[in-house]
Amino acid sequence: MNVTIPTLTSEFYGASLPVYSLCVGSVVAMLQGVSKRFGSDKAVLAVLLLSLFAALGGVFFGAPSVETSYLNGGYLVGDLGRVGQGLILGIALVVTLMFSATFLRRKFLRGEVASLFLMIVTGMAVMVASDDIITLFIGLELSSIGLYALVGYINPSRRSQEGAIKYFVLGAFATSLLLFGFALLYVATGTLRLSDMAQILPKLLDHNWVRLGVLFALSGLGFKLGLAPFHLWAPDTYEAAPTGITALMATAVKVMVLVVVVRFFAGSLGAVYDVWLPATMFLAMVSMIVGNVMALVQASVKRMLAYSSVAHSGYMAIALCALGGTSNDFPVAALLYYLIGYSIISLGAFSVLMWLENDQNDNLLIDDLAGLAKKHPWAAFAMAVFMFSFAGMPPTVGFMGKFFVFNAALSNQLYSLVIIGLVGSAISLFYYLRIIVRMYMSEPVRVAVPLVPNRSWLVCGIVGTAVVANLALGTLLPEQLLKSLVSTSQEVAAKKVKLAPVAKAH
Amino acid sequence: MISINHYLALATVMFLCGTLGVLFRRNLLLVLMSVELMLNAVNLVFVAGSRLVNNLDGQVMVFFIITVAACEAGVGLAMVIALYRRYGTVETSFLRMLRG
Repeated sequence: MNVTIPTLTSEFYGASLPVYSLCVGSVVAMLQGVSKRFGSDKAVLAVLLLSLFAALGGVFFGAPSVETSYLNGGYLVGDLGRVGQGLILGIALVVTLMFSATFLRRKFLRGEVASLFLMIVTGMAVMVASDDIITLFIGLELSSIGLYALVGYINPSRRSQEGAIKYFVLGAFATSLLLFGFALLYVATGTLRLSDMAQILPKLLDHNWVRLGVLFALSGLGFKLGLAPFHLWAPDTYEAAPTGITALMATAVKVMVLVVVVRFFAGSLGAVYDVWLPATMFLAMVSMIVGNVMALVQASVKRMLAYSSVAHSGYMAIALCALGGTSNDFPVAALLYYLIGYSIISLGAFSVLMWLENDQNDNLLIDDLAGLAKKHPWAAFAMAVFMFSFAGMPPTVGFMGKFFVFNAALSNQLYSLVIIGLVGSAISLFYYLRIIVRMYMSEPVRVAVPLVPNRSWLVCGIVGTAVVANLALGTLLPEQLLKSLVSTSQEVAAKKVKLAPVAKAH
Repeated sequence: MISINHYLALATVMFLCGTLGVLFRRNLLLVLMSVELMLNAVNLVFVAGSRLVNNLDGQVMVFFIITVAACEAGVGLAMVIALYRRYGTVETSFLRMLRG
């Protein structure tokens, strides 16, 4: 067997700067955990921000202009990976700043917590830039193991430890399903490289191992995405985790998994669409129904947002189904647009929640928000904008995202999915509007622990930016963003193996 | 003669045993062991597949899986200990605060 040792050029170090700077930051933060002199919360925050900004700089300036793969496919830098990494790092930055401005500041800005946090982000950045099952697996586990730990460790309580153990057991189970799927695909194709799989799979269309492998891998990824019927961990874990970590799970984990799924469906598994298309359609339908219906009856805001995130995963899965349809590149752009919009809305909504929480009450009920408009009119206004946006009302980014996704599905004749999606959006209006009604139209109820958030310009800035970005992407800028995303999707579409037109499943 | 199908059948049986263990066992330690059993089934498939298709990628993957499974077990056991200190038991039926 002849192995070619790849030469590592300076270009490679530029391209992998995001991963390197996050790793270095993580190690430094770990050392700060045992240092009295350099371990203050300000110093830890400085290290976190420095490494996140260095990584963002690497994403925007270090990467080569054309898609390049290094280390025999171990690290793939291209437009799709860059969008994913940029989004993940942006989310991590917002979560860090929000933690530093709210009541968990001292608990989050500890060396060991910051180190785990940076490792999670490293894992995500590795996973979206992988063309090889080994690096994909390492990235996924690096982020998952850190998340298992952080859910229960930042603010230990009965509730958060219970949520952490549930997340851990189901997460490890999902990883084994995913790996079993990959193992079967490896036995069938003989390669661990995703782009090589794309070449080999068309010759193995009726192979049972391939079919089984694709289904196992899909269910593992469905677990990580929180698609129903694999969503059982999501409400418990979202409710149990500190809100900042919930925001990270709701947004960055989705970005990471969806980028990989796009690579799979549009690239390596494009040939076996007849296996994954019905399965994904099923997951999308069940998620939209279960998520929207279960969200109706929740009392805790975070739990309601968890079910709503299950429903939103369903909407994103519609765009994934559209990938199986034709060779056009619109579905990827629509999916990324939805993902960016959803991240902005979620981060905004969770930031408002984080700002309102305090030591005694870190799991707000919808009743706690009653009469918020009288006490904190601007927070209530921002929350109302985010809720409208979740529900998909114009002129917000949520509306444009849904519009593009449904459009992509319609052009691929996925009518049943679009109908269920529209019905689901109608149901979802009810529970999103319920929050707005409680905030604006009911008197403040006497709650056990009053919400007395402190004034913070940082929180103001973050929430304000989210509102402005939300409205701007909904009204003035959708075309520009979509155009820039289409170039990303062309890169994916170029790799798709050309096939005969698809027989549509209705 | 033992063919790849034998290995796959054995691995599938191991994987199913692990799955049933995760779903139906009520003791967290046994659930963790079941997860390990599932991962070892995966390892078996990778090793057998590596022999079948004659390249070493599968073997490399197995080393990574073993390492990562060890890390996972470390974090998982730490959580189990934390739960034991709080509840005095590691039975899952005590986890009732969240209605999941």
